[in-house]
Amino acid sequence: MMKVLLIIPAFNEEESLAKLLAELEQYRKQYDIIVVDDASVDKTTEIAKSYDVPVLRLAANLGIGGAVQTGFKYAVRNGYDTVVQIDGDGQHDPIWIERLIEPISRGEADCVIGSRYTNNDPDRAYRTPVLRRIGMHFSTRLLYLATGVLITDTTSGLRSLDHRAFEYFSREYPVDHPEAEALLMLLNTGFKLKEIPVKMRSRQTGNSLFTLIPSVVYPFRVLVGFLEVFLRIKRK
Amino acid sequence: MGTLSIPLRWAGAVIIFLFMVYTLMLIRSNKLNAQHATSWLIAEFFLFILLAFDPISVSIVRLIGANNAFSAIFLLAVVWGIALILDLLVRISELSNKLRAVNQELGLLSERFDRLQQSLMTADSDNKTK
Repeated sequence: MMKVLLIIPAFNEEESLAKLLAELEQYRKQYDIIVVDDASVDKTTEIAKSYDVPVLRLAANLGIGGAVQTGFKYAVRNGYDTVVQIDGDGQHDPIWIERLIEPISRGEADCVIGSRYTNNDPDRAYRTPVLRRIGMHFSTRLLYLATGVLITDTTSGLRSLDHRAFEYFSREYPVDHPEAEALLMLLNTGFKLKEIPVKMRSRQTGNSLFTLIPSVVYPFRVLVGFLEVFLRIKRK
Repeated sequence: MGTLSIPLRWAGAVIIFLFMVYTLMLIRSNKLNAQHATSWLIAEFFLFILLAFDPISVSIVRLIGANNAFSAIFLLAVVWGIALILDLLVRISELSNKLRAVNQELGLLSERFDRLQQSLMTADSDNKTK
């Protein structure tokens, strides 16, 4: 049986995290959970501990990339076979976890992405802000140009990874808005990717990282990140 | 070939000398790392020599084919400035990578510590029950 770890990066998500952990209670027998508290100033750590979930508390804020990578390091050191990344803001419904793991257990993919925009079953109820949609469209096209692979939801944080993929990411992982760049790293290094259709919920509490200025700067960051991946010496 | 006037050269040399003294004071008071300051000190020393000794500045102007001492110093300063900024960016990148790794290790260790503490408490309460 596969040893699966659910990695939940969280930054000031005390309200959303409580709801998410309550939902995850029913999965505790199947999967282990780790919360990576990215130096929150609220009660994120206390909330996680109240649900008896172990916490990796970072002393300084590293951003989503640094937080997720800490989870990957934890998974490597504790001998997990598969990890599933779930955002602490509660947008990701735990009902998709099993579907995300299936292709990995069958050996069909090294990384499975939960996508809102697959052509056969798009999430029509999910409303993406215009600026974010522009940024996502840009990164999708850029990734397609760079690799020839069409990933419809490059910014989705709902992903599962097999041991080889998260072991690779435990060594190097992008820092800011890492989702699209991480996909390029995987494709560039020969990992297999797969998308499955999922439905996501809107954020109820807390603040999104995609506010006005980050949304405007996002395409530029993606471009720089992609150039960096191409310039860097490949280490599989 | 234009060179700098004597008062201007000496004023420049004095300012650079004061900067050198200030840099050394920062190192002495542990506010500046000597390794990080080396390139800066070398540049200050070189600029001081260039300003204090006219024949040297004349030779440099001839060597790089500049019209006058001003443009020669400006060109050298720009090249050195670019090299220094690049060196500092490399150092900042290295340090931020190290800081990230240390931060992550701290998080991983504190979780391990929590786990050990919890197992010790469980063992302790088990002993008391027996």
